[in-house]
Amino acid sequence: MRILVVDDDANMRGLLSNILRKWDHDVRLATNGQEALDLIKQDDINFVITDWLMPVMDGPTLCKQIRLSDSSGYVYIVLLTSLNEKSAVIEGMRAGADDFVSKCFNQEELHQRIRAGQRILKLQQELEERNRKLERANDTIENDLKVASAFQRRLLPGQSSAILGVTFESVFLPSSHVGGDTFNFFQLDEHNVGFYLLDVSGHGVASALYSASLSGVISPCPLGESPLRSPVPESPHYRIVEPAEVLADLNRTYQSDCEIDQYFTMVYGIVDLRDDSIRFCQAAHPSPILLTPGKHAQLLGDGGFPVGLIPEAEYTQVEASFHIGDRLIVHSDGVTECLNSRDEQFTEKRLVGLIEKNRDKSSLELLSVVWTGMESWTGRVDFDDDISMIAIERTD
Amino acid sequence: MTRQEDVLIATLLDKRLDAELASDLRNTMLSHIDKGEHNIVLNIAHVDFIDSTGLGAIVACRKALGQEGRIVITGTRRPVMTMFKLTRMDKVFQMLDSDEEAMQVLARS
Repeated sequence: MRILVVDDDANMRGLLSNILRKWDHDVRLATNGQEALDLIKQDDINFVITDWLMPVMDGPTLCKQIRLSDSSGYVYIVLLTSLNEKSAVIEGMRAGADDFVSKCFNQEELHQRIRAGQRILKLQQELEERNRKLERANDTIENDLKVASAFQRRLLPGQSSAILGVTFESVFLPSSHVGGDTFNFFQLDEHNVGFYLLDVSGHGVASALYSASLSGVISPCPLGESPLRSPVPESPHYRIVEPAEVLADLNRTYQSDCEIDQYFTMVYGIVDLRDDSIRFCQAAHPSPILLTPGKHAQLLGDGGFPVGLIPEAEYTQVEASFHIGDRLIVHSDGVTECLNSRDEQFTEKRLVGLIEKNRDKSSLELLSVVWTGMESWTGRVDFDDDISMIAIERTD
Repeated sequence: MTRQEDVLIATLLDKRLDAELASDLRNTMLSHIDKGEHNIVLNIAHVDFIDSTGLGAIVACRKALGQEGRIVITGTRRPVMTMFKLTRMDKVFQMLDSDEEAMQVLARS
């Protein structure tokens, strides 16, 4: 090991360096604290044996300077002392010394004290190495998550979109880079527009992968087979599958097992432009909120089985009129369950109240009012759970 | 966790049954079921919030018990009951007020 001996007394330097070399250490020498500091920087030194009283810079000051400097790795310091009082030990330790050896030392004692110091340095180096590895691993994970999060956003439709006579606005905030929420809107045929919002249980990478794979499946995909449109022999050779049937089908396909215990809640619905109606199936998802001009905001539906949890689950659907000017707001439970500093939930009641109060605003403004409302409720700009909201409006 | 005759009574002491607790609950219960427990009373009287992972853990116990076993949930508080109703789990699980009632029901079967 490389050891720096700091002493203004040439005899003491000679004695110590002879002994240390005998034990195969690589010895460097300095005559005062200032020289020592320079050498430590130059020669990558982690072990110092220093005298107390020296000109230019004394031992305790050297200790303080070493502790203040941002040198690489820990420097273990042994103070040589002829002052054998308790107060000196305390002063030395306060300055940053690790151990003390009397100037009239016994060789074996010095040997063992150096070995004790070596053990500490070894632990220190192992800890630093482990931290470096963890930091590298963490950087890789963080970076992967950032890329994954960008991919996940690309799977979602743009913030605002219009299909036939229906416009959609959305808000999506994953809790930790990637999230288990996803949603989409699409044209099913010339009279029908489909939409869904789903929330995979848990959040993080596994939930995000699951929700990404689901978003590939739940699409009208005109070329392949889709759970939303099924082929029939007679013209137009397809049938739009009813929301409750779609959910029953997904529930059969995606049963959780010992390996995958994730499942999801979902609202899947269809806006029918011919008969001005909306119908949806609510699979354990919070109830959507209907905003009809001239009427109070109204919660539709009272629940349903989640998807992938109970094989024998049966699903029902809710139907309502949906004329020009009507809006439906679908949200994930992250909205109503976010907590304030007193651990109180935002609640469905508060959400409906906020929507009712701001009903004259555009859908985009309405979603942003809710978002701001949640931020002031939690006092934070990031949330513990994924947050997603869509507003569906019949425009013509 | 106590045992009366052939019924295992598990009482959750935490207030929030969320992702932090769910995997612990799942693993503990599954290891008991593996060891042959088949009548379980899960007392959630202390719980005032349950999320999707918590619900998933309870359903995992039901799945592990299979046809032979039975699980009864007791002491469900109102906000938690709302979650059970929203997800229709109140139809899947037998839900009773007290452990005594649950013991009687399990003894009759």
